[in-house]
Amino acid sequence: MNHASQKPVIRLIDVKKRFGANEVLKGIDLDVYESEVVCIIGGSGSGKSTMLRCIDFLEQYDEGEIVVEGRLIGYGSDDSGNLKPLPRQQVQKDLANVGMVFQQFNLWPHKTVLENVMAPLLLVSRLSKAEARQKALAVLDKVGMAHKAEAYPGTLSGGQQQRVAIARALGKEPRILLFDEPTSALDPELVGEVLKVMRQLADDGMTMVIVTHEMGFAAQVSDKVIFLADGKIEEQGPPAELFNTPRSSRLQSFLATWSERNGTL
Amino acid sequence: MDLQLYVTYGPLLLKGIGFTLYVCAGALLIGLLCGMALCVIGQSGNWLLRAFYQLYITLFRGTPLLVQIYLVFYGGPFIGLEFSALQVGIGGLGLYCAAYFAEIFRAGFQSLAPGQVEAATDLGFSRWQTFAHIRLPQMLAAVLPSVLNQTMLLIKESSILSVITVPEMTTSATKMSTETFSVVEPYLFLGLTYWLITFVLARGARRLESRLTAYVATR
Repeated sequence: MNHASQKPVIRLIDVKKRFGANEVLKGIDLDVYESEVVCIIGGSGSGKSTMLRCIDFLEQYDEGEIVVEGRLIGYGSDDSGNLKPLPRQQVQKDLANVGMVFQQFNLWPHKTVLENVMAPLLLVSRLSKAEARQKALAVLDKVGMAHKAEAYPGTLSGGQQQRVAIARALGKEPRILLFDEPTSALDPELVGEVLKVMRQLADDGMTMVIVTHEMGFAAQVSDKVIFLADGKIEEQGPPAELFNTPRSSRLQSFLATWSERNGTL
Repeated sequence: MDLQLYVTYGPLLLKGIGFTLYVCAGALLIGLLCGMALCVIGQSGNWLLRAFYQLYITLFRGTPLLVQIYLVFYGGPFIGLEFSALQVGIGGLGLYCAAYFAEIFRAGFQSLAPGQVEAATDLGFSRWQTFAHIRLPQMLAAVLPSVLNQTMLLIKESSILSVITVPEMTTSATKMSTETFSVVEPYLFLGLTYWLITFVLARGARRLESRLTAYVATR
């Protein structure tokens, strides 16, 4: 894909994040363009989830810049030009076009499927009850879950819960969706239904950043794959290139270990 | 058993039951509201507020209710604090139970998976909306059995208020006993009435619980 004429919708510039003395992100640079699907792979502790959570500002990054659709996320200049953390409300406003899908789904168990999807539409988007209901049913239909609108999340399979979580994220009509290991908590036979929904979103032109262990999915759907190791981007490129001719020894051994367990890609 | 005694002392006993219900309802209200306020204070980012929480909890849980109300009611006037017996009774019992309720609520909030709050943040919920729509309802459903337990203790502890002359039902029964030299009639009545009140309460709470936790039961 040629992005020469395009501006990135997400731009990370030398992003660093520490937990105490432990530096988890050691300077990440990344551009994500409109409608691009970017998969982030890497071993546990490589910083991939932290990086994704920094984009959504669920983790506060310590250094560098994260710019989403032209807006610096989380920080603003005060009167004397120094950067200072922005109030929660402003950060949420700047991230209004970004949705997040979590590994553990994070549905609210005391609300039905329909109420889970409607709540943000009522409380944040301030739609009327009738409008919110209509919209919620529409996004639930999109992920094939409208028939379970009245069910509680606890009665659903993991795959169904994750599809509801995706519907909930779609409610605010985001232009960017972040996925944090969306299928890692699922039984193997339930992974497919979630990936199918994600593939549909990609085909519809959603910009997606996906932390995943599903190499097959990454190979088929993504435009770009990022291999993260030890808080740095070790290698990146189109999936065919990255998976077939890995250059760095770390990626070679990461893929070799993966193939040993899961068969060839 | 001299059943005639119940006829003679009926009005006094009924008045006592009325006061017991009144005192307990007031103390429960104070206990729940102050308990919730304390719980929020205890989770504050301000260390002074958190220190106040710790001090409050340790003082009110670490000393007997009898000592607390005795000190305030009989000791208070020496330092210019004069309250009626009813005020000390309701307020004292309420503030005493608030310490327990606060700890129950705190544990209830902690039992919540943190991811639910992150999802709310991502979806644009304000802190208050997250509290009111996500954290509070689940916390209340989770702590209902413990709150019921504490409420039953509160009702039984209210008998202690007889030592500061609150005209509740233990006071009535004691009066009946000393005036008629009877023991079985007043105290059997007293025990059965406490049991009846807590029994009805427990049944009601069971119903409320099955409604509040319907989402768990469907799993």
